[in-house]
Amino acid sequence: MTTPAPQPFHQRTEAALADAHLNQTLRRVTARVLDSRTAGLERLPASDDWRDHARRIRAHTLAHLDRYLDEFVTNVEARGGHVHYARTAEDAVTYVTDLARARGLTKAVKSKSMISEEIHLNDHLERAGLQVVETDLGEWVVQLAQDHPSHVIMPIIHKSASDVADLFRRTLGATDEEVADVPAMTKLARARLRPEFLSADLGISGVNFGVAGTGTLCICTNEGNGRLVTTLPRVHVAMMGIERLVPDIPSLGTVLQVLARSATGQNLTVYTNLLTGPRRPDEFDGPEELHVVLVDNGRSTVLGSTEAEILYCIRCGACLNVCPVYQQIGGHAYGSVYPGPVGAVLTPALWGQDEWTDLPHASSLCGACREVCPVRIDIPRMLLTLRAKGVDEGRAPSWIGQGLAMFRRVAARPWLFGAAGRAAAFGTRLLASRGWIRRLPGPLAGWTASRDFPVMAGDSFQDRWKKRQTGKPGGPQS
Amino acid sequence: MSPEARQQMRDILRTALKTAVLPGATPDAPGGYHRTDAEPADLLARFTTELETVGGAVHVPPAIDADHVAALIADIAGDTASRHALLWDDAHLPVPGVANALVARGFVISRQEADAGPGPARDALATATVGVTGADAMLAETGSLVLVSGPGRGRLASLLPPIHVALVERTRLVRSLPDLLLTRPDLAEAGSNLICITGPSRTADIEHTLSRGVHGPGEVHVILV
Repeated sequence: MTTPAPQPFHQRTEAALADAHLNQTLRRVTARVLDSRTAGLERLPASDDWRDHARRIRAHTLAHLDRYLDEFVTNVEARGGHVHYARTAEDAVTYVTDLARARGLTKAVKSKSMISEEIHLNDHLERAGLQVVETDLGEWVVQLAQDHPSHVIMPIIHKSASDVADLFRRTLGATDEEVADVPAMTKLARARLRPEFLSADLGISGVNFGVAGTGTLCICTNEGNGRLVTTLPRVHVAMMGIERLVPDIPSLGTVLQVLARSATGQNLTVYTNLLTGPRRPDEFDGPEELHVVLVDNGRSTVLGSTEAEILYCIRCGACLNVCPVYQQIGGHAYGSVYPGPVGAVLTPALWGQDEWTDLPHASSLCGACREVCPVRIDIPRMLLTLRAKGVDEGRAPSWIGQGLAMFRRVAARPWLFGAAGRAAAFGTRLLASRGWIRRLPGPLAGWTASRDFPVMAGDSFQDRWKKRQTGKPGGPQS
Repeated sequence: MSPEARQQMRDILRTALKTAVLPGATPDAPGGYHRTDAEPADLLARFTTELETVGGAVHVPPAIDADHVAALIADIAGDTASRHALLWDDAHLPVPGVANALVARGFVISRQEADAGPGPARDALATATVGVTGADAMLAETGSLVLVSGPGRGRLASLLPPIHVALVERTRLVRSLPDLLLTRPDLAEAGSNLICITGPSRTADIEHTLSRGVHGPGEVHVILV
């Protein structure tokens, strides 16, 4: 998403925090998914070794991306597919809309693709006169609600079952029976979407991995819509980020071993779909035409930066689920199609800090994202480099720099530091009642708006250290 | 892609790579991971457990012939009012004559014998209540089936009907998908599609609550032959 969210980040965050329904849903679901993830990795012997190897594969591929993309293009074309390198979002959507016009395509069925969200593909196709139907259950809900996904793999994590039931009643005229529970709503989705699959002439999918050595596309889904989209329509367009490659089929096996376990805790997604070219002359199904759109849209800029490591990401979503900030505010508050820790790095790295300078600060730097990442991306490191860039480019508020400069002057002089500490301790005693300060004065009041401040100890650490050493052999005598 | 576009792509990437910070990158391709942990002692037992865990089932017919297999399929399909099977060609099923044996039990048989674009022919395939296929491999550690597409072994039989039944020889058992792709990478390009199926179609999009049979088959059965 290159268009920034309309409100400032802190306003979006406040709105999210005030939404009790959202907070409850997020807490419940992220806890459930994290438990599944832990169990999924525990079932895999030596899971840490698999993760280390998956990281090696991603790092090596990115370091030779020029070569592997070239090889990938050669092999897709050798199997009869077409490849287009789209440098910008506009270039990508133009290619797809031109193709649809040239072939006279009228109805597109789509499986989940974050990159098509990124480039607003649906809007462009609809403006070009196509009917576009999202077929992933979550994405279909997003489309019916005219909403946006709030998680990279669970697009409607922000909605409860009753939200979805209400939506189906309102937009589809569903009966109470049809929305009685989740299985009933699933059945409704199958019944309503099946005719769309059978009549569509364009199938649009994302890509989890492209395999350079064979030109194979790997698409992981659970519902089966990914298979229908890539099998029934006569034209298949696969939207793929340029970084989404592995060198060969054995490497693909390794990254698949950690993807689903990290994402949902499944051993594998229900459908691990490998597609090599369009249908062959002797086959009776599969698309007649296959087009792979390689979307750059800022990725080559990220590759050339100190944040290139974020491109190792295999989009499992584990860092979102584990992040204490994401758990509180959800995906929409980030304002980017890529939320959570990965999004806090990827978004400003892709599209610059002009509009996204706040996102790297949306983290407590606790490091949980790095712990759960299946390819061990050092997200906190890059959050810090982005924050530093923000300061260097003069994007940080001036009081931060001034405050830190003052702290430096005080902390560099032990007598001044000690005096300041004693003054602060004295001040807190004056303001406190029963050991706690309910409201700090002046600009410090913000800190106590939602919590209390404790009285500082009467003796500073320096004082206590001196007392401790007194009387010990070799210690200072007073 | 035109040679000019390709050159432009190469140039952009090469320029970027000059300043890229890529921790852990090695000059040589790492290839697939070669695991060192011991293979499960009983692959079939593991396969059965894993498939059952994800909601599938494994069946062993009393005898391996078309009639016994067809009887089992009829049992699985249940409802006698709508006996319509979409089958792979006989040549690609490990037990010969299953189609005829199903006809004898009142099944209507469909096959993908031509290009089924949008229209009545495809809509007819979509009314099948059970899809019958073979499989190229069974994966013990995940309870998965691996099917490679080709003439006479279309994708739709394992995709459109609400029930998928795969007839598979025990010798097709392999430890896992990474092991299969490490030892048989050629399978990935043997047809336009290699599908690895791990249990019935499912979704957990709504509140991470599991629900089966959303777009693909809601039931997956393996008949060991």
